[in-house]
Amino acid sequence: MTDKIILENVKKKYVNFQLGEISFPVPKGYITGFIGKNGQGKTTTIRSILSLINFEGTILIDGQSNENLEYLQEAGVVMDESFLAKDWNMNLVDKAMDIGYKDWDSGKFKAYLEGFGIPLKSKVKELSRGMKTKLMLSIALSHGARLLVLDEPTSGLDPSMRDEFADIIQDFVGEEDNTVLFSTHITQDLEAIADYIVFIDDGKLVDFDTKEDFIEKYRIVKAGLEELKGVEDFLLGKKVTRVGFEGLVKEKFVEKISSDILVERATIDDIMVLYGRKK
Amino acid sequence: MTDIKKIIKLDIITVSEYLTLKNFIIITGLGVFYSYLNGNIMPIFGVSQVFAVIFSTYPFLVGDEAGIDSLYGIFGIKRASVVCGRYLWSNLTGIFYLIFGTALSLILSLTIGKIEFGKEELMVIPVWYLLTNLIIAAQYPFYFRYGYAKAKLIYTTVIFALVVAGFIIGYFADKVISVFAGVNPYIIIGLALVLCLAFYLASIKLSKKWYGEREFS
Repeated sequence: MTDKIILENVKKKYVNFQLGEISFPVPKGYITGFIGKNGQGKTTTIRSILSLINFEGTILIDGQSNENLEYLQEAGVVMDESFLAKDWNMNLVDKAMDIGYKDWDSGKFKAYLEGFGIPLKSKVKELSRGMKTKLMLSIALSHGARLLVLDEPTSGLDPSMRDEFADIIQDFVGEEDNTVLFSTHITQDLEAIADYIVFIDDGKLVDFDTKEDFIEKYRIVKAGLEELKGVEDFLLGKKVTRVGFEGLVKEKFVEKISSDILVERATIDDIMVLYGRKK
Repeated sequence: MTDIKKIIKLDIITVSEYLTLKNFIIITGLGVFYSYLNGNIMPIFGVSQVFAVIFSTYPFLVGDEAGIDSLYGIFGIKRASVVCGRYLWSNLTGIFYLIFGTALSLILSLTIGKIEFGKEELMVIPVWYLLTNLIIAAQYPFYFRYGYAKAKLIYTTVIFALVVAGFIIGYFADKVISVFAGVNPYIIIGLALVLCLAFYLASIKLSKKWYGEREFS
């Protein structure tokens, strides 16, 4: 396995937040889900990868520093914002992309727009959030990209479109060596399609593993409040109600936990929701 | 396609929506009105160059509104190229409006006898071109550092400071002129051009530094 992206000791300081240092790879030819609650550093990491912000540390794309911006020609990007002038209609978007990307495929772009039901005459400002995401996805897939960097792409999409989106991403990665880094807090999307999971919390890397091994590492424990003290040392996070609690533990500690406590397999969502939660 | 060429083309697309008939009528109307009142062509150039200066900042306006800078970043265009491209674009904008102003004043001088267009007026054209570029050079570093909205506010303060400086220089104008008395005027013009060039290059350098440090959300 080779890595498409390698982050080494990446750090970014803000007044109220610090990302890292974090280090993790994004394996080539796979879908890597990048998870974490809002405000934990996912977007900062992605902006660092895309060279949109300055940071400390090193980011390598195909072994080359990301300061060499040429890799961006082969990167498709879908972010929360569209980055397109609000007054542009789809023909102007097409023109702008033709200037910006050396391998721009206008026919493919228009076919995607048609498939997504976006008229050529419509302006960017007239599109809903979901339609803007579709537009950005159309752009990302119309210039011969080998890497897709997606930052919360599904948050504005309805369930059926999210399903379609997942299919498109899987088709993309089906082509040899195409790679996807997919940041989201809607983890159901990743349960279906991700091969690897990167999990960050409070600006720090919590875990990086294959999706199956990642899920296998954690368990949910449930019991009444009287049992809480006995497991507190093992809890990575907990949700306490008036009658009981639900906690996240590492699977390797399960055998040390009382048999009175209910132990269940965790979903990606459980892990993300409970990790670091104090009450 | 070089990055600088890309930026110029993208900036043209970006601001094309602002090239409206309404703007054209305003420039023409204001220029003609003031020129007719004064009986000379200067207001036409003044008005068209004011529009050139305003127009040259529109890519920053769209940048603020839509994150165009991030788009240029995602294209893999180096920030230094964005800066050079935008200075060149502003230059082209200035030239476009100079041609527009010249054409309009020629038409006016031919149609309305009161307004003259001769050798003296022609000699003023390069001065307008220089002045426009100097104003753009004075404001661009702020736009590259802060974006449109904040830079506009800061730049207003700078303009105020320049006006104050202008008054002070004006107060000592006689003394300043006396220093250059007897000096070959071509040497003075040459010196002024060198100073303008140095100012312009310093502006580009500062813009590159500040834009390089900027972060896009």
